[in-house]
Amino acid sequence: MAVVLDYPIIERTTSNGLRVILSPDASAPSVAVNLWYRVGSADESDGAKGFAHLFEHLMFQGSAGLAPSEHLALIQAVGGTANATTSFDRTNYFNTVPPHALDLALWAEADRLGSLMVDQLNLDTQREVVKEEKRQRYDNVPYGDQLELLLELNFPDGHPYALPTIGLVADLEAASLTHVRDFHAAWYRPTGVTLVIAGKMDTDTVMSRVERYFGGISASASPVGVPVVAEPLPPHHNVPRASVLRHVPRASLQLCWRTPPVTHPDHPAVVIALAVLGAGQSSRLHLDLVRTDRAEVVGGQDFGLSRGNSLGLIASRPCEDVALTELEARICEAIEQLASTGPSEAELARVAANTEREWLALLAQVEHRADALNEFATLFGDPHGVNTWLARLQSVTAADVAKICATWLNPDARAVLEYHPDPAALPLDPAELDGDPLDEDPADPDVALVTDEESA
Amino acid sequence: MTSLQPRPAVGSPTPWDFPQPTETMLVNGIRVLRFDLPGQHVASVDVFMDAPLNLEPRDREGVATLTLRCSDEGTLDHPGAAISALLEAQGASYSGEVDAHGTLAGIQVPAHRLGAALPLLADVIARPALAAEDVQRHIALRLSQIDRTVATAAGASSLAFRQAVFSPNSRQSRPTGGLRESVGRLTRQDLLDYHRSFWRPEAATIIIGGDLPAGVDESIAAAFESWQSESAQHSHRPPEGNADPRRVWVVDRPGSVQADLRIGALATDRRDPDWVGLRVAADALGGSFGSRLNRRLREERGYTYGISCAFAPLRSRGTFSLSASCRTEVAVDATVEALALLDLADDPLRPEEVADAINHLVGVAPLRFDTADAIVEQAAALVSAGLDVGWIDRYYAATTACTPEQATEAFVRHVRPQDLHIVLCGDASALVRDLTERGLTPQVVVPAS
Repeated sequence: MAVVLDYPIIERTTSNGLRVILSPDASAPSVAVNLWYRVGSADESDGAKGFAHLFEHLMFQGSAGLAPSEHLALIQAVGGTANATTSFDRTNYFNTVPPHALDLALWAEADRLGSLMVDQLNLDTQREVVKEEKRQRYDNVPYGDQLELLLELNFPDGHPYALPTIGLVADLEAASLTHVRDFHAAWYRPTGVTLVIAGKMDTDTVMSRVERYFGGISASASPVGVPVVAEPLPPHHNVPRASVLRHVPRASLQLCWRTPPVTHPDHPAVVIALAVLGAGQSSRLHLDLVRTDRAEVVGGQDFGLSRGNSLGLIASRPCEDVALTELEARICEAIEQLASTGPSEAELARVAANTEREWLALLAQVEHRADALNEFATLFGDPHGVNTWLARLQSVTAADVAKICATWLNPDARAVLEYHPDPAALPLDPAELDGDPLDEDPADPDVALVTDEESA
Repeated sequence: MTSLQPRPAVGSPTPWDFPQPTETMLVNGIRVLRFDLPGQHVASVDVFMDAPLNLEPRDREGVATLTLRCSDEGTLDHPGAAISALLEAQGASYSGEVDAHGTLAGIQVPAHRLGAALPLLADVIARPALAAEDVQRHIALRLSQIDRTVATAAGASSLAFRQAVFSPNSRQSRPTGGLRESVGRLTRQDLLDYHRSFWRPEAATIIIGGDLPAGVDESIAAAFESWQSESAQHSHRPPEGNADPRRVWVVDRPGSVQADLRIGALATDRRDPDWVGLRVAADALGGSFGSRLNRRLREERGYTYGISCAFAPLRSRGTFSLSASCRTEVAVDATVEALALLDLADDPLRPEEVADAINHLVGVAPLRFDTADAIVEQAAALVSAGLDVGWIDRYYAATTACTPEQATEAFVRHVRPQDLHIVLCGDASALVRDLTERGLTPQVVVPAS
């Protein structure tokens, strides 16, 4: 008697080409306004690495009707929340507000889409803020260059995913107001964005309100920017390996694969295979590595990237005196075993039950429901994926998982990133330093996985 | 350029109340708070065990945390990995937290699987095996966690900040999970003793919320009523602050490109008549994007990715703290400027700032409490603080009525910028020079870990 998901989905387009998806929910206490612009760091040109994210900060720096930094303050002052994130494949802006403030959120988003106004002072200040963000999240934390190293290992120079979204300081320094205007003109257009509204709304009037605020934004004659395309890369061979010595408290190990893009029919089976291997205390790798005092932690994830390939990862941190080679061999052995016998029914049932909890918990919040609708609308072309995703994951068979482990996650197709602690050395390069969660006492030790998002 | 449309007026919010639970008691003394939340397909069940952290033996600190972490590593009925396999087969994720007042342990689970998951949760809580090998493993994991914590600027400055604010006589001067020395000394027997003394039905409250299936009361009773234990009395002890004058401490982290800044002091709790005014003032100063601190130090100066301040209440007393990370070159300028912004005596909060803060604090409530997990978590926090669930509606009503004078005066009464402790973790040579130049001669410390 699993829950059958049936979130209502209404698809519309405004007169000037803005795609709108409505998902009314009368029981929700709030309404989420979520925009995905189809531009991410993967679309940046050489010399502009990090610009998409800097630009996202600048979108908070004022428009015809909004003073610099007013947008966030305005939404918070009506009891709402708002923020934005940039990743490889998209830039998203999200506001969750009490239902009586829906118009304000729509108006504010439309105002900065139609009339962004950034001056040199704002640009200079936000450049400093972004550099502080880079220091705080990467340069001043242990394993802070992990994402950079993983991307370098898996994607060749010039590939859209070759560099982290945070980009290069030299390129940020070179950003000018001309770049800001050109970027806005190329990508921030009614036809370059999908607007999702989810939660409590008056379904009779909501489209006329969207039309009122967004409909007058001119659909410029020049075509909207086209996302950069990447061809699928071949699997790794001969186990490419990056082994770095850093000022870190413990060694760590990442096995990674060029996995199929998020829209590929094999993606759900990759997700399930990684969960059988590494999600939860009864996963194969937890039992084999953590319960036996070989590793402090182990876990797996797929980045969910959409262009040519995604990136799959199994990460672990050894117990003291356990060699990374031992962990690596055991992880490869676990994958080979899964490839030859497939998961048991009980394992698939466990993963299905946990996937159900995670997906339902995510969708319980209108903010995340709106984001999921936009992800399916933007990357898959169909927002109804929100209602069918769980069934897709749960339809993965034992044979599918076995096949994935013999193909996409084949140990021979892995690349490896190793961190080794360098206790003797003071950090030589600021980019090789440490830092971690703000909470000094997390409730439970967990695997430190990397994120590919930058927030405002 | 002009806007295509004028800024729309915003109407009035719909009145909102925190959901009220149905309260019952099981025969063995467990209090049950049940929140019926239609449409919440993922149920949340928390069991709060009232157990003041100050009752951990001084040389065994960390035992509460280790007991929690080992609790789902095997039970008497389902030894070893069997219990987590059974929980995960139901899609239940078990987690918990120790705070100054007790231990919270619970599950999130698809609501339709509650009937099968509740007996497993009861088993973990009432009959954990706390096997020697699991205890040893979790001690090693905690020691590793300490190593990783002190390797970070934020972790090191948090440790130092506790020690600056709280007297060594107070448990709060040391992290909840314990320091290396006491954690390294723990044995299986310590955990068994702690569990027997403090995980007790008559000190426990079960808080459950979600789209609950029929018969859930019976399921709870059947799962938990057989839990028995010896009775013991205990009392919560308010923490003490350090009597000394302001501490200005630098924790050296050579080569750091940023300094992690903490400013703060011992403060008050939710029972203080000034509490509402303090929360409103803290929000206007550093609780939102448009707050004075964030506007000045991030949006005008570009000194930091973000700066915030807040009051963190304990059952009695609590802390006020401000935190930010800033590049080394500007860290001391940011410190001095932040301290000046905390001085409300000369620059009282303006009516519009207070109105925004009230709308932010009150208006965001229905957004925050839109899942079973968030409602259960908030109710558990109130139980931990020794307050009834109705407190939250009274707090929001009082917040709505807060005046600018009330907020400013409360803040001025409780926060004296010249007395606030200052901790900076980063490149000590630069920080000591810059602090000394600004008349804040620091002491370089190595926080106990």
